[in-house]
Amino acid sequence: MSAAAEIAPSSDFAARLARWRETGRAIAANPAALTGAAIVLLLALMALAAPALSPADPDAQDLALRLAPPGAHHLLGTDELGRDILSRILYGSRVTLAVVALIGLTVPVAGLVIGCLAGMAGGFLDAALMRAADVFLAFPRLILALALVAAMGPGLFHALIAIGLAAWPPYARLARAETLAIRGRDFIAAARLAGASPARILLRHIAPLCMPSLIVRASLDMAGVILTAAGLGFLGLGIAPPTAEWGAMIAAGRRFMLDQWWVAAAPGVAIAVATLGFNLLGEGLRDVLDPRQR
Amino acid sequence: MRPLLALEDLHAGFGAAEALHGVSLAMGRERFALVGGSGAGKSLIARAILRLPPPGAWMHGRIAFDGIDLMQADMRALRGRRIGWIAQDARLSLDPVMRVGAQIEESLRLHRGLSGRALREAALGLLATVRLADPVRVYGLHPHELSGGMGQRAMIAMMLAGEPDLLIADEPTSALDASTAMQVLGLLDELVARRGMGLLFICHDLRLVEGFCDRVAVIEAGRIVEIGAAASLGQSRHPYTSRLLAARPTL
Repeated sequence: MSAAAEIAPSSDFAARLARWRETGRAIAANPAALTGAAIVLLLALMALAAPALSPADPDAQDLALRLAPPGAHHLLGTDELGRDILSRILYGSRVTLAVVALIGLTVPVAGLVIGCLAGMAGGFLDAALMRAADVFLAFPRLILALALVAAMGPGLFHALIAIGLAAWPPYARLARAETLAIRGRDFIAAARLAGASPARILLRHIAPLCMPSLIVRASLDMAGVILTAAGLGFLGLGIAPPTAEWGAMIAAGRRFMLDQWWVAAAPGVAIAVATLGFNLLGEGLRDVLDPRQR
Repeated sequence: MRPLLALEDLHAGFGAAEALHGVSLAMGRERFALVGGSGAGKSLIARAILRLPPPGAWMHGRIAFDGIDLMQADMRALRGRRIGWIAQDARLSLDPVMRVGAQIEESLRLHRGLSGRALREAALGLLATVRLADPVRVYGLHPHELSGGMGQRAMIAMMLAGEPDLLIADEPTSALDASTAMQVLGLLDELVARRGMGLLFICHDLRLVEGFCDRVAVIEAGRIVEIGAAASLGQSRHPYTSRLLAARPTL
């Protein structure tokens, strides 16, 4: 099964260490996953150290130097208001990662709760929750998020709610399927026969077993979340200007695409690289955490 | 004396097919065996007593446990606390991602309201009670790391947490090899005697039951065909019982 079992670790801690080492080795043996992990790590460092790394204030305008090409002073040039693009990319990574982190932490949990509840309860509740999920799944995610933000008004918080509402159904479906499979197993019957309440069974015995597939799904989903967030920003429905946001930066640069290509290209490359990083990492994690899908 | 458990005219089945045709029996704090071939309805009786029939099954009749009408009772107050249940393969009946100790502690917390250090000590005590060689080690293991016999002992320890009056053991030894099975049986025997529990032992092996139980009910196709002292089974005239006796290979 694993090296942990072969070496027969002497303590709990040793077993955990061995497992982590095993996981680390599996990721390291997969160059794509390693690249992904490196990109994501770099991105996180960029976001954390944005104030230290930025050569200029991301919001400082210099109208005399508007649309300057990449050069010694401004490594990636300046935008239509003379703001340093590199600094804006660095600060923009904060918005992107904040969205990824918040969505990645909340949506799978919400999906887990809804899915487990539907799978355990069955009957009317199951049907109601799953039909609701179907309604949300019927629309492409970006379109749905777009409609929701348009209804609520632009802004980062509204964008987060919209992305979350558009993203939960696959998690709920997954959790429900896992719950249905686990529910019939002997140890659930045994727990029930030992007097455990349905809530305890759900929380202690079923939810933990749903986690691996949800984590894998979430890590693969984050690339899509970045794209959705950037898409909302591009359409002017994300965080309000002047805060730097990659999608909004592309939208601004679109007008000068042919003559001042760097204004749109820099955030575009940033989005592409970030998406690629999360995608590669997600696939690597899937290979490691979920051997069934290999 | 009021019986610990009494079934009266218990019917159960799936849709139009009736699997139990009016089963009646009464047992006290004794070792009572329910013996029959595959599909005779032994396990269905056990699950009916706990009012957890398999999905899609129906049941009606009267089941009284210690004067409580089980058809009406709040089963969650009884399951685990008054009536314990041991499954065929313990390793499938333990949560695969929880350590053995944690699972026993969960039962202890639920039924006896223990916490903290007392909880851990009680769990280790139970593991020692079921004569596991190294309770501290087993406490930290996951179910897949247990052998069959260890798993069954851990399961018994978990069921003892609620200090039940009646233990239902549904073929507890059929997944074990012969010598381990004898050890587990010896353990059950000792625990039942020491704690004064009733044991409803479900089994398909009459010979095994003969030496282990006080009384035996033989069940065939959903009907009890014979009830009597285990020791006198050898003289049974009933054709089904004789067939069951003859079915065991001689070593």
